[in-house]
Amino acid sequence: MKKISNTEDQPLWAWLLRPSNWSATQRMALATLLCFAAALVAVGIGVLFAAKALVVLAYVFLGLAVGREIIRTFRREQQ
Amino acid sequence: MNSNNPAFASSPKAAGQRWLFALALAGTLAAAAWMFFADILAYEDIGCEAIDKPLALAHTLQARAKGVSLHEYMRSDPVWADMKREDPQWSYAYVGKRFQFDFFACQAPFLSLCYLPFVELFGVTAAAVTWYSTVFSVAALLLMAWLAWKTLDGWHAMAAVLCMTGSLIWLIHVKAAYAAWMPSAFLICGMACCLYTYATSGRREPLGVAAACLGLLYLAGWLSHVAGFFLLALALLAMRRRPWKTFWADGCLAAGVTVATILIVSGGYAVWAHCSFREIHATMFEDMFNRFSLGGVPMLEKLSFPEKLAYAFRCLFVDSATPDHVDKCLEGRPAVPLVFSVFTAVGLLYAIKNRNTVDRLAMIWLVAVFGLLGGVMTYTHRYALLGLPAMAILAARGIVGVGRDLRRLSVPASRGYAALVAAALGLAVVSTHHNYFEDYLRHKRPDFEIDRGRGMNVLTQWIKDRYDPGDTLVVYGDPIMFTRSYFMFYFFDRPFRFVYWSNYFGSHSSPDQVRAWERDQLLQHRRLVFIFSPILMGDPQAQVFKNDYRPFLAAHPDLKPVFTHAYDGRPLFFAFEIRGDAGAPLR
Repeated sequence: MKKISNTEDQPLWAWLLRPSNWSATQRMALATLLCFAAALVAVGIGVLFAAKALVVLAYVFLGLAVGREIIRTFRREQQ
Repeated sequence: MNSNNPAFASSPKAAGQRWLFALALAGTLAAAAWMFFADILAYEDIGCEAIDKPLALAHTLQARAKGVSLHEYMRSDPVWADMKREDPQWSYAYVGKRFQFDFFACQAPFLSLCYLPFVELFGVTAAAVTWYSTVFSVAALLLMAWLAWKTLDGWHAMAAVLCMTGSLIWLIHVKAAYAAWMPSAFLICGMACCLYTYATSGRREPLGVAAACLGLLYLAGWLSHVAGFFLLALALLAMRRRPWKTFWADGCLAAGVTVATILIVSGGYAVWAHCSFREIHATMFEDMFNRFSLGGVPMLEKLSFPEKLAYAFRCLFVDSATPDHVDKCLEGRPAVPLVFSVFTAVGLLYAIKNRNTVDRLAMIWLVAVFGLLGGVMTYTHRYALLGLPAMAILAARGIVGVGRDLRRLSVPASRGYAALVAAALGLAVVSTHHNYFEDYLRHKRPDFEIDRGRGMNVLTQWIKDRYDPGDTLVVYGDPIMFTRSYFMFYFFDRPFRFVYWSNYFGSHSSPDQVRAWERDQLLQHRRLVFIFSPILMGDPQAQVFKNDYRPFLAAHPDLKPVFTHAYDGRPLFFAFEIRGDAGAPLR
C-alpha cells in the first residue's frame, strides 16, 4: 500500500500527472468522478445506453472505493 | 499562511499576514451579514408550507393556555368552524384525512420546540418565520465554519462561508423558510462536527451527540434523516480504526441514543402539548411515507437513471429552474455560483489526493446526500441543501489548495491568484444578492402557483387596518386563489369570520340572488368585504367559472373597488365593500 502522506506534499497537478503514485482507493475514486462526468457528456449527446452503463459503472467504483475504506479501517487495527 | 502560528508573530511579514487575515475575516463577516441580515424581512410572500408550523404551534399554545387538549380546542373555535364548513375538501386533504392543523400540531415535534422562542418573541408574524429560518441557517454556517477552521484553518473557513453566502439556492430557501430545512441543515452540520471529533479523538461522547442529532432529524419530519442515517453509518464504518468489538459497541450506542432521543423528545412534547404520543408518531409515519405514494412531477418521474443525474447537474450548476417547487428557484441562474462549482470539483481532487480525516468526512457527507439524489431519487433543491456545506468545505479546500500549490512555484503568481479568487467570490456574492433582492423579489416569471400566494400580507394588513373583526364578514372569491391558511396566520390575533363566494354563487347567479344574500348577511354583520381574483377558473368556452365575480358586479354596477394590488404589472386581487347601515360602500 502506498504511503498517503507523500501525496500531501505534491502539488495537485504533479500528483495527477503521476498515476503510479495513486493508491487503489484513489484510482477508484477518480474513476467514479470520470464515469459520472462521462455519463453527463453521454446524456448531453443523447447516447442514453452508454450513459446508463457509465452511471452504473460509476456507482460500482464508488461502492468499491467506500468498501475499501471500510475494510481498511478494520484491517489496519488488526495489524 | 497559518495565522495562528506564534513562530511568525514577531516578523513584519507575519504581522502583514495577520492584518490581511483580519481584513479578510471582516470582509467575510460583512458579506454574510449583508446577505442574510441587512434586509432580513424583504421577502414578504411567505408560502403556505412555511406558515403551517408556527400557526399550529401558536394554536397549541392557546390550547395550553385554555387548559384543553388540542382536539377539544380545534373543535370549539368559531374560525376553525368557518374553515371546516367553507373549505372541507382542503381542510381535511392532508395525509390521514386529519384536520389540517390538528395534523401539523402533532407532526415534527422538534420543529415546534425550535419555533417556540420565535413565536413567543415575534408572535404569529412573517418576522417570526424569517428570523427562525435565518437564525438556524447562520447557526449551520457557523458549525460548517468551525469544522473547516478546526480541521484546516481560518482561510478555509472564510472561503467556505463565502461560497455558502454566494449560493442563491441557500438564500432562497432561507427566505422561503419552510420549517424543516434550516434546522435539518443545522443538525446535519452538527452531526458532521461531532463525527469529526469522534473520528479524531476516539471518544464516544461526540458519537452520542451525533446520534442524538439523528434522532432530532427524524423528529424534524423530513427526509433529511435518511441522509443523516447514511452519514452516521458511513462515518461509523469508515472514519475510525478499531476492532470489531469496539465497532459494535459504538454502533449499539449510536442506535440506542437515537431511539432514546426520539422517545424522550416526542414523549416530552406529547405531555407539553396535551396530545397523544401515538398520534405524534402516526403523523410522522404518514408524513414520510405519503411522500413516496404521492409521486412527483410526471415529466421528472419518467427520466431514466442518467437523465436524473444530468437533471440534478443542470439544476445545481447551470440553471436552477425546476418544473416543481417553482418558488424555490430562479430561472436562468445556477443554484450555486460558478466559482463554487469549479472549486468543488478541484476540492474533490484534493480530497482524493490527501485523504485527511476532514477530506474523507466531506466525501462521505456528499455520498450520503448525493448518492441518492439525482441517481435513485429525483433531484430537488431542498434535499441538496443538506450537502451544500460539504460542497463548500471541498470548494474551500480547492481554493486554498491551488493557492498554496501555486506559491511553491511563484509567490507573485499565488498573490495574483488570491486576488483573482477574492474578486470572483466577491462578484459571486454581489451577483447573488442582486439575483435575489432584485430579480427574484421583483421580477419573478409569472406562475399561477406563486402568484396566487403573493400579496396576502398586504391584503390582510389592509383588512386589519380598516375593519373590525367584531362586525365584518370577509368574503373571499374561492379557496384556490385565497388559501385559508394565510388568513388563519395573518389574522391570528384578530380573527375575522369568513366565507367563500364560490360556495354560494357561480356564473349563472342573478343580481337579485346576490343582493338577497347580502341582506341576510348584513343582519349579522355591519360590513361585508368582498375580495376577488381577476383569474377566473373554469370553462372559458362555456363561460362558466367556479369563482365568477361578475354576478357581484352586475348586482352593484356603480360600485368601485376600495383596494387593488398588483405584482410586476400583474393584478393580483381587488376588493369591494358593502356597508349595512347605509347600504352603500364606504368611500
